[in-house]
Amino acid sequence: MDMRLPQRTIVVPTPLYGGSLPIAYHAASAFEQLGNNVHVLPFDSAYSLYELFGGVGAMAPRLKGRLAELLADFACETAIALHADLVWYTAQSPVTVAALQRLREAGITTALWFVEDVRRFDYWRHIVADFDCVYTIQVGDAAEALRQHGARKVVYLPMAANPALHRPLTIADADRLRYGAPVSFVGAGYPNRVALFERLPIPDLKIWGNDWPTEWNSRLQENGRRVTSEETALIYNASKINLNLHSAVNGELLMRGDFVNPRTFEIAACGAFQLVNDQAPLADLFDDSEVAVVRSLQDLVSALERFSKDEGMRSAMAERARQRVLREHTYVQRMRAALEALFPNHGTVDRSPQKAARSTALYTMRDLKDAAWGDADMQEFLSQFADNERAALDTLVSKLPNGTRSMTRAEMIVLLMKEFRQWGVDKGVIVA
Amino acid sequence: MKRALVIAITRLGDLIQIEPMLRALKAAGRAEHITLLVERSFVEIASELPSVDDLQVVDFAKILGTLNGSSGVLPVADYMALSHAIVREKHATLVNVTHTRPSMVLAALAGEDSIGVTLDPEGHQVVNNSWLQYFFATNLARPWCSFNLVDIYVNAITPQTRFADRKPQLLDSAPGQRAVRRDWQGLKVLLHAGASQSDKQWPEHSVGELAKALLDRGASIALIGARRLESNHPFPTHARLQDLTGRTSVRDVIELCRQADVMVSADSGPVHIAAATRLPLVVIEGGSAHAFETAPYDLNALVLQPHLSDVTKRIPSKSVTSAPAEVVPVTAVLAALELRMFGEPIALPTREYTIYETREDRNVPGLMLAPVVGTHRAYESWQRRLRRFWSQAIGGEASLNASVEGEIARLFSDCAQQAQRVSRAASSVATLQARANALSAAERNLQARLLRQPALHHVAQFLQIARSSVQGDVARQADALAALYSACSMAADALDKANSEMINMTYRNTPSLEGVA
Repeated sequence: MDMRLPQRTIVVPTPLYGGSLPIAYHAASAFEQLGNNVHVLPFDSAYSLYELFGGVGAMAPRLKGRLAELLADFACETAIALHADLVWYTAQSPVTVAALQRLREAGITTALWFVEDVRRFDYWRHIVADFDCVYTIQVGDAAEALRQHGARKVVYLPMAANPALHRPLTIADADRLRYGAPVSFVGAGYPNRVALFERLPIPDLKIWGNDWPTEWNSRLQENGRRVTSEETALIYNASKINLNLHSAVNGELLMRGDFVNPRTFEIAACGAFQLVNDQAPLADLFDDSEVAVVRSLQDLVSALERFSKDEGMRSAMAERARQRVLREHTYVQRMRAALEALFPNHGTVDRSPQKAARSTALYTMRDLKDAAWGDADMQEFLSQFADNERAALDTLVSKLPNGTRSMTRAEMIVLLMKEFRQWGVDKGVIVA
Repeated sequence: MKRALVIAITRLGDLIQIEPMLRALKAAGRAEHITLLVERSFVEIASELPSVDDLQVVDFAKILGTLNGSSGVLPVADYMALSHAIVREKHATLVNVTHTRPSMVLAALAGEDSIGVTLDPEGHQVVNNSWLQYFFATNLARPWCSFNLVDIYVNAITPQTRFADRKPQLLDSAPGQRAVRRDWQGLKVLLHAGASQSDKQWPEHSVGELAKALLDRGASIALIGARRLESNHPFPTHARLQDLTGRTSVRDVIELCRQADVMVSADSGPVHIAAATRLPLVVIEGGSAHAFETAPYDLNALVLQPHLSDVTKRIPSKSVTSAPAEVVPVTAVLAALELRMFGEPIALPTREYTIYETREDRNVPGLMLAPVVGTHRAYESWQRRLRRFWSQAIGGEASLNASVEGEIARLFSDCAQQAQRVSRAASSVATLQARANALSAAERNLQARLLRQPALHHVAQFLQIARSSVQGDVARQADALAALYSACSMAADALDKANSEMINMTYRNTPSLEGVA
């Protein structure tokens, strides 16, 4: 239990199914380990009902939608009844704008951890404006995209591992035979992966997961069924080399994308060795002594050749990666960071229904720079101020050009704040 | 799809009054999809506007709450989100009908080309569109606004819009079946007890007195208002008086208007809802409300306009628009009701107010006010002349008998000529400077003349706004100014004649029952 953080009541509505489902549970577990009072709403238990609705023909989408709305309302009313401090949503958790607005009026903080690619789904566009904070696993343009659709606060929060589940295991012979391989891959059959494996036949490769070509019988394990989280831990542990190839959206076989997937952290937490394709944020999370990074097909071929013969190197790298995860990349560490971003300086939670501002602690330019993360224009404007300088509007206004040159967008935004303040003073709604 | 963003961070009545402008945008082919930027408190009424396709909501509670820095972090993220929200869709047309400084910055953030007030890249105020320059100018001289707000907004888009297409519309606001009333018995009166701004309010004791008088005559009353009545309110407890104050939504008010026979109110949002349902109206103006600008946009409404004393001699200011509404007596409102509903003529002393009727202007598309009880002769004369002047100067109406013989017309003409000389200036800097100086001198002369007459202060203000809003290089600016001064010169005959009438009026004997400034 973390004695530094105040105990909070946190409601965690899970998705009904999919890759983000276990992540919701990992987050809930982490909140609990941090000493919070956590209420998990296991909406995956409604998945069979959700699937059942699919059998009624044309009305199926509408019925499924109504079920999702009902679950969203239930999460909302549960949080209100519990006087929750926070409702923590994960991508694909049932949520509606109406529920978020009701929670806001009730003074309850809401957050969304969007653990998916903003380019691949667009449902988030309709809801991000109504969360108090949106966490993204992507660097670069993703934050801007979220802001453009109204997200008030966007924070980079990469994936993680749960050491309670993803850990070194002693593998029984039967499991090693079933799950182990010289080279393994666990994941869905995205087109770039299918194309890569077609182009690069890897001997002794075992593939686990869904949506692969059914004729790949020799490599595709157990008819391409979904594997459980526990099974993935067994596979990672039992395999000499784990291939970790991120899905690509642009037709490239190995795309240098803008996020690091959960698998990277899970394999490392298991103390297992991985070959991973380069992603933009990867170097900040792991270095070359911990994970073997490949940037091209040639790299991949060479690495497979090299590391398949060097058990010592594999073990050493795997252990270093595992220690890195335990130090920096667990869900407990992520959720601590998430709570600190939501409740800076461990501010108390205002439960009044008309809550507008948070705690009365002094804010600095560092806080504004964090709030403006991903917005290059605003970051450049704020770079004129020291991190520990107090975040006062007059200080920002003092840097406006005052008619001597064209204003940047960031300067216009500061001017807008200044004009709204004056307007509010003139109208008597702001005390000068 | 051609998208338009309309910045309308304003109140309920104003939102209804811009509705015809939104239709004009679509009719003119300038928009197929309109997003309206409104404050959260007015989402309900904005949702009732038929031409609005989407709403962008500004939450004042969120963006104003921590600006003074006393609690919480500066809402930089909220402002960034607002900025992103207004630019995320590419808008072919941007209109700003709000005249506040924050709205100018929003317009500047939203895009480069806009109709209405915005900021140039250096942060200087620019007002694009002559009619909205006029609107801005009359904000500082409100008694001298000669056009209804609906007409100003519509004229900013399409001045030729027919009168029938200028009437504000709301969703499902078609009037209900109203019985023909011949007397007070059973007359259903919708009585609005307040106004959004205290200076426009008719005193509550007057409303209470009116309610008693109506009940004595056999009428039924539904009392509405934004706030519940205080415990010491002056309204009687009566079976035919229904207190709905503080309990009605916008849709409720629309429905009440459809059921009622008449509404009595100070200038307020519900007045404009009533006008949209074609409910007969008796409106008490006063304070910051002035009938010529804010009268309900429907025919045959009666508006009681308090006289602002010495209005033709008083230096206009933003803060003084009308005399207080309290000068309008209950007897006058009762008499206006009788006139409106039963056609009974009125004989009342009206030194302090005039009762106007809203009518269609047959000369200039739009709403006009005709005095039906009392008169404010000199003021009304000025208003007629000003209306003609502006219709010709910026409204595109032809000036059939243009004459540049009058003093003001000559001064405008002189400015036009000097501006043309600047436009034709040779490349010599000295020559250009000399001609620019000559133009400035001519403009100073014109300003001095205009400022001698309180009724023309807003004309001077308009010219300053137009001057500071011209864009482009020196030649283009000079061409634009030359065209403007020339049009004003052709139209200034109306101002010179008004001036002559004023001089003549001071020597005329006036009947004791007519209010004359």
